[in-house]
Order: sequence, then C-alpha cells, then structure tokens
Amino acid sequence: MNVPLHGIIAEFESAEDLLHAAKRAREAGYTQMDAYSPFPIHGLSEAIGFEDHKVPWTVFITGVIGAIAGFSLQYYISVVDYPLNVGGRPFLSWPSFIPVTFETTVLFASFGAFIGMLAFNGLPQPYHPIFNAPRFERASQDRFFLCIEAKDPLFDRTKTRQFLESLGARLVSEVEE
Amino acid sequence: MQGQIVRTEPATELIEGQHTYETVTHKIGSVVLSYRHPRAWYVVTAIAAFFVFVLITSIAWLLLRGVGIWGINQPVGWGFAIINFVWWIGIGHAGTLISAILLLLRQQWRTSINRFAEAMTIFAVMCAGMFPLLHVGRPWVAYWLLPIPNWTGAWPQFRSPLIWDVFAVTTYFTVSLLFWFTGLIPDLATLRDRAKNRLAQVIFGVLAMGWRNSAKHWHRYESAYLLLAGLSTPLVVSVHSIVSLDFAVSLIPGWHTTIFPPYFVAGAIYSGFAMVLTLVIPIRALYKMQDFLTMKHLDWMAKIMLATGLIVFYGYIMEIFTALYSANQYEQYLITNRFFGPYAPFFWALLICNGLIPQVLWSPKVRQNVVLLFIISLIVNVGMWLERFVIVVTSLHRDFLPSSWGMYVPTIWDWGLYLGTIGFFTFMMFLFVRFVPMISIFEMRDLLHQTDRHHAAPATGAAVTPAASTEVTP
Amino acid sequence: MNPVQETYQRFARLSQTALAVGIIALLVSAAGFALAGKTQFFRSYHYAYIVWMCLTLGTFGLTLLHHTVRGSWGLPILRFLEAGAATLPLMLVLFLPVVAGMSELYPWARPEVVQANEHLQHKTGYLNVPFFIVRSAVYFAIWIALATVLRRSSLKQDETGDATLLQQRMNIGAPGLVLFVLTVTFAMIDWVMSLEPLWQSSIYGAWFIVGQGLSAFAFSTTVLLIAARHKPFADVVNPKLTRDLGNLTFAFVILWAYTSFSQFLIMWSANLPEEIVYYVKRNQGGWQYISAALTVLQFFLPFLLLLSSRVKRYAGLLLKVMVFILVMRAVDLFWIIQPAFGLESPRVHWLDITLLAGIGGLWLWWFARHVCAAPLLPRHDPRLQEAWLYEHSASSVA
Repeated sequence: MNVPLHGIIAEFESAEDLLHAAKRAREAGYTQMDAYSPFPIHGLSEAIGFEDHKVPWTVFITGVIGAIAGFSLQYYISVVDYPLNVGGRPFLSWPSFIPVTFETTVLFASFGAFIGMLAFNGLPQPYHPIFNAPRFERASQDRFFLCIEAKDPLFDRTKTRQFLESLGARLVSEVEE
Repeated sequence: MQGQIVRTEPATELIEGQHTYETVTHKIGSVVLSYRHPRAWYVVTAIAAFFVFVLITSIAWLLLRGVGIWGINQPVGWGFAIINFVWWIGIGHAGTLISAILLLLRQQWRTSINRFAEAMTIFAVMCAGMFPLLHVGRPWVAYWLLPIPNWTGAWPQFRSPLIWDVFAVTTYFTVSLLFWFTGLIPDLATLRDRAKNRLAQVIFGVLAMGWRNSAKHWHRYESAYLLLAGLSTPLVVSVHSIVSLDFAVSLIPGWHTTIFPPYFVAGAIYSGFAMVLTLVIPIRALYKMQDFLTMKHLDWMAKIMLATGLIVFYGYIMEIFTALYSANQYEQYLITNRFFGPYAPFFWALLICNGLIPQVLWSPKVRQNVVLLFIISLIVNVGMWLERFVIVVTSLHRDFLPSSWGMYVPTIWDWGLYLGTIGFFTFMMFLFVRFVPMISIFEMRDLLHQTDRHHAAPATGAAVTPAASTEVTP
Repeated sequence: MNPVQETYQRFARLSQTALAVGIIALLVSAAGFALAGKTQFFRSYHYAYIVWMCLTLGTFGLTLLHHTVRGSWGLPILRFLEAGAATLPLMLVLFLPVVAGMSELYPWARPEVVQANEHLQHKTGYLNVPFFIVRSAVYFAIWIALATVLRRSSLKQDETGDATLLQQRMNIGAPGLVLFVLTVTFAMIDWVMSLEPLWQSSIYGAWFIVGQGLSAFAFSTTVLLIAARHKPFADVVNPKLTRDLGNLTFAFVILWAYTSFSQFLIMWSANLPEEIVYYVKRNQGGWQYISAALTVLQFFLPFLLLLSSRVKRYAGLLLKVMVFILVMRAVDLFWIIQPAFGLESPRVHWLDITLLAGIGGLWLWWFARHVCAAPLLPRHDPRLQEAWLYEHSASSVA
C-alpha cells in the first residue's frame, strides 16, 4: 500500500454520465481532475474547470512572424542583396511579393497550431500514470473516465472513492503513480 | 405548432444500420489491424505497382536523355508536364475542401470522407510536384528555386509566379500533412490500444505520442484542428490561384485574363470531387463501408460537383465574352482557333465533358444512381484534363507570328510519365486504405453521439421554447 | 399594444421618415440639376443609383442563396433580404434617369466619340443604345419575376404552413442563382464597366457579386442587430447566430479582397497599356489615398475585427463593424465609378450626397413597407423551429 497514488478513476457508460459526474465533482469542490473520452465532448473541459487560449494566440503570433519573415526575405533579396531589373518593374514590387508572404504566413501559423497543440499538451510523452488504470484502453474506444487526482487538496483515498461510486460509476479504481 | 416537426429528409442518413461506439471502432479499425484483405485489393495494388515501374522507367530515361524525349518544342514549351501538374494539384484540392471548409461550415457529412480525401490530397500533390521538378530539365539542381544563398551567388526572382508556385506547393504539401497527421493522432491512440501484436503496439504507440484522450488534450486539440482548417481554407484557394497566375500574369492570349484565379479554383474543386467519387465508389463496395459512406454522401458530392462545374462554365463564358468584347484581334483569333482550329475536337470534347454531361446531376435520380455517378465522375476527370490541355496547348501553338506556329504531339514518354503517376497515386491510395484507418474513427463516434442526441430531440420538442438571448444586447 | 406590434410600428416610422427624407433630398437634387448642370447631375445620380442597386442585388442574391443551401443563418434575416429584393420594381423606375442620361454617362453612347475612335467602332455590336436598353429590360424582368415568386411562396407558407413550398423554393433557388450570376455579371458590365469602354476585365462580374454579397450581409445584419432588442427578433438573436453572420461577412470581406487583388495583380504584372490605365487613374491625383484606405479599411480592419470571437459575440461591437463596412462599400463604389467619369482627384460633389440620400430614402421607405407587410420572421418555416430545437438540445447537454 505504499505505492504513491496518481488518483482515483471512475469509468462511465456514456458521455452524458461523464459530463454529469464532472459537474458534480466540481460542485463538490474538487479542482484537480481530468476526464477521458473517446471523442471530444462539448462542454466537458468547462465542466472540469479547464480553459486555455494559448493555441489560438500561438497561431496568431506565429502567423504574424511568418508574414514579416516572408516579406522581409523578399525585400532583402530583391531590394538589398540582389536588385535585378525584371521587365522594368520596381525593385520593391510589393504586389508580386504578396503571394509568397501569404504562403509563409500560413506555413508558420500552421506549425504554430501543430507544435503549439502538442507542446501545451505535453506531447510526446512516453509515460503517464493514467495508463496504469484498469481497462483504460477503452478510453480510446467506447468508455468514459473521470480521474480525481491525488494532488487535489480535498483528495482522500476513501472519501473520494465513495464520492465517485455515488455518481453511478461502473467501476472505480485507484491509479498508481 | 411546435410539436410538429416537419422533416424534409431524415437526419439518420449519415450513418446507416445499427451501430455503437464499439462496432464503429471495430468496423473501421479492423481493416488496418487484420491481415485478411479482399482479393481485389491485391489485384489493384499489383496493377498499380506495374505502373509505378512505368513511372520509374520514364523518369530514368528522362534523366538520361533530357526533356527532348517529350513532345515539347518551340512554340509549345509547356506540354504534358504543366497540364498534368495543374490536373493533379486540382485533384488534391477537394481533399482540403472536404476536410477544412466543410468543417468550418459544420457540415457533418464530411466526417466519413475527410480522412480519405486528405490522403488523396497528399498523394495528388506528390504526383503534381514531380512534373515541374522534372520539367526544369536538371532536377538535381531544383534546390536553386529555394531562397538559399547558393554557390552561384544568385537568388530566386520573386516577381515570377513560378517562384510563387514553389512556395505555394511546398506550403500546401506541408500543411496538408500536418492537418492529416493532427486528424490521425486520436485514431492512432485507438489502434495502439486495440492492437494485439507487439510490433503494431509499438509503432502506433510511438506515432500516437502518448495521446490519452484527456479533456484537456481534446480542448487544445479541437482548437488547433479548427485553426488548421481555418488556415487551410484560404491556403487551398491561394494555391490554385497561384497556379492560375503562372498563366494569367503573362501576356499570352487565352492566358492573360483576370477571371483565371477563381475559375481555376472552382475547376480544381470540380475535378477533385470527381476524383473522390471515382475512388470512394469502388472502395466503399470493396470494404462494405456503405453504412458510413452513404448515398447521402454521394448525393452531396454530386451537388458540389454540379455547383463547381457551373462556376467553371461561367469561367468559359466570361473568357469568351471578354475576348470578343475586347475587340483585340489576338484574343478574338484565339477563340476562333479554339472553336475551329486544329485542336477544336479537344475543345468541343471538353465542353461536352465538363459543361454538358454533368448537367444530368440536376436530377436527384441520377445522383442516387451509383453506377451513373461513377461514370460521370470519370467523364469529369477526363474533361478537366482536356481543359488544361486546351489552355496550355491552344494558347501556345499559334504564336503571334504565323512563321512561329507549330503543333504539339505528346510522345510515349509523356504518356508513360502521366500513366505512371496515375499508377503511383492508386498504389499509394491502396496502401493508405490498408495501413491507416480510412475513416476518422473518433469523429464517427462523435457523429454517432450527436445523431443519437438528434433522435432524442423531437421527443422533447413540445417543451421547447426558443432560446432567449441573454448575452446579446446592443 | 403587444411587443411585436411595437416592432412593426418602428418599421412603419422608419418607412415614413425615409420617404420624407428621400423626397426632400430628391427635390434638392432636382434644383442641382439646374444649378450644377445635367452632366454632374447624371454622374452623381449614376453613382448613387449603383450604390443602392448593389445592395438590392445583394439582398436578392442572398435570398436565392438561402433558398438553395438552406442554411439556418438566413432565417432570421430572410424577411429583410426579401424586402430588399422587393425594391427591384422601384429600382426599375429609378433606372429611367440613367437611361435618359446615357449620352452624358457612356462615351460609347455619343456618336461623335465613337466616330473618332476606331477601337470603339469594333465594339458597337455590343455597346449600342437599343441593345443596352433591351438587355437591361431583360435583367429586370428576370430579377423581378424570380424575386416575386420566391417572396409569394415564402409568405404563402407563413399563411398555410404548407411545407412543400420549401422544396418548391429550393427548386427555384438553384437555377435562379445561375440566372442571377449571369444577369448580374452582364448588368455590371453594361452599367459600370462600359463607363470606360476600352477597358475590360473578365473577373468584373464576380468582383461585383462578391461586393454585393458583402453589402447585403452587412446591411441585413445591421437591421437585425438594431431590431434585436425587440420582439420577435430578441428570441432568435443569440451568440451562435451573430457568430454565423459575423463569419459569413468575414468570408465575404476576404472574397472581396481576393477578387480585387487578383484583378490588380494580373493587370499590374502584365502592365498592358489598355488595362493598366484603370489603376493608373486610380493611383494618382489623390485617388491613391482612397486605394490605400480601401485596402486598410475595407479589408485589414474588418478582417482583424471579425477574426475575434469577442466581436462576433457582442451585438454592439458587431453592429459597429457592419455599419462601417456599409460606409466603406459606398467609398469603394465611389473609387470605382468616379475616376471613370474623368474625375482627376477625389472630390465629393454635394449632389453625390443628396442623391445618395434621395434614392436611399425611397429605397428604405419601400424596404420598410415590405418588412411591415409580412410576419417579421418566417415562423412557419420548419427550419427555424429546428434551429431553435437544435440550439436548445445543444445547450441542455452543455
């Protein structure tokens, strides 16, 4: 019994049960928890009290950087380093520079979205204790889980367990660290 | 009044049959995880593999002998290479349209075809990219196109649309890959958790990167996915617009016309949807996916084909009208030459394939007939290829001076390369179907969840009152 | 008085005020005909007419689009779109002064100009007075017929609740949209592009149709948001709807920039004398500031504002953006039309303003009368109920 606990996990049959349980857990004062479901459920992240706007901001900022980078690249090449008269067009042919600027904006912003999403989610992550939970492989298939974590100030091995059982969970079990 | 819900069409048609989360997961996931495959899969893959050899041979001979083995000449310097480049890029566009634009428009019917369509995009862009690379003559120095200060001390020339193309196509390819892979991550986790075989567990485990279906993961994931869709939508429009600018910013009659960007984009989507239908119709029969790829999907794709086909036809009308209205003798001559010149049969065939025959799609009966839809999709594929042929060849072969006129006839190596890319594309698509879940599993579970809720809604309908606004007060 | 009747009263008051303003402004403009000369009068009239006609055609086009794709976004604004399209007969009457002033407006309608220009002589097959009038008559006949049939069908469904009418409008909507795009393209070529008869652009029709869609979205959202405090609109205006309308306007802002830039880039790169003259005129003598302002204020600013989900959630903010877009549309058309008349630097004549107010007054009068003539929301449309139902079921789970 000396193995430290990651938390206590409850398995539910449906998305609605999970959503309901998450709301009840919040009402009961728990703050450190996470829910697991085989598809995104509308309103679940609000129910566990989680909101995060880092990804959109990352995309916006990387997009702006991409635009500046793309335009300055063309400016440097066509005006500063290698000015070339092409059909009498000005060195700073800004209308011609817009397509490439647009492409670099989208390229940078897309990497912002992809890498930002992974990085803020802490991925790639080779080990996570939640995978020790019994039947957790069903979280990617057809079952819904709610885990109240041991770091929660209200966490108590027996009380939390009883609380989760009272929510109509199918199975409640401890998750080792 | 409110209890009576009049439905013009049932909402269930996006998933047919009796399904649960488990059966959806099993039905789609087992294609990847099982060893048994329909015999047709082996036959098609083998035939496609043969054409991959044709492709390799054509490329090898080209590298040995140079672009002189093709039919290109003066004045027709852009032959099959550019025709096929534009054709393939166009085909790729439907993939992005389905996965990104329809997601933004909250069209649920996209769910079961988006994975497939995105894969199509990636392989089509690979095929497309080969052509300009080989067409430059010395593909081993193609990196000169990139803005790296190389040993010649020269930089690319940014007033040329050909350089814009380099940026557009590489960005498009990269972003499509990112979008596709992002969409795959949750399904890779599903496969990791279902796989019995140790090797499969390790491979899918590494690729899933520790995805654990947590609500926090999903929250950022959905936001990133939506943003990628929002970025891909203008991207796809920009890519084919830039391809059209390769033609339009020049001074060649028939190329230099302002309708080209939107007209090319519509044409790309048109041919892309035709290609999705061409592929989806046999594969859904082969893998018995009729429950997920329903007639409703085919009907919607047919409607989009009809709509984009009409926009393309609008493009033809505006091109012809503007040329005649301009009172410019070169422009007017070009139109006469298209209608009655040496390549007139191609032009008339294109009008019939792209303009006339697809009009039967106005009839709902035709849209419900799988065989007819398949035939029409093939015809549109041919028609859109002819369109690029007409644009490239008829504009070039009659130069401004009659003394510089010429004809263009493709050689066997042109055909070898073209058929080779079709083989490569088919080969890759069939490998994809075998090794990657061809339908997004987690989105299908979500769809199942939502349609279940939708079923339940009319029962409570009597109690419903319109949701009053609390937040919106000017 | 019940709250819905109060809303009707507001529209009725709008209609009366607009009529009064319109008549006064037109009387003042009539004096301008004598004071400023008929050339200036017709030029100002043409500009004002096109501004309002673009809005009319935009609302008509969105009506067709709505019936074709059946998006739930269209239901709360459908009556405004229909009322906008219902002004087509009024716009037909107001088109007569344009016909009367043809020789003042269109160089190709002046025989002495045509005689002196060989290039123009090649164009007389298309650009001649009788053919122009016949074409315009055909456009109006098609538009008025389609708009009337759709409006009748929609009102009849409100009365009888007959759901088959929905399918009927869908069947008209799709081919109607095809006809709309073709006729509007040629109408804009005839009425606006041929002001500079030696210049042509094949994207012109698409460019205008996109601009009209933008005007119509901005206008109908503006009316909806102003009316959102009152019943029955208060029941349907929610953050989901404002987000949808905001996003659609956003899409049209981008499409406008896309078509504008496509045309500009192709002409700028080719630099052909007969084409580039269009942009040369519009980038000197002060017009370059308007060009820059259009880029920044009709694209970048609304783009960044509508990118934010906050703006789309709060009706007050969204309303400001929409009104701003409507103003920019008038500036845009000023930039398109006035240099074509040879105006070398951007100067607003007072007739431009009075005629804009005059035609606009009559337009709003007619519009508000038609809004009053029908239920304010297409209540019997099964989709509106479905939309409510969906919203409710979604929020009940959330």
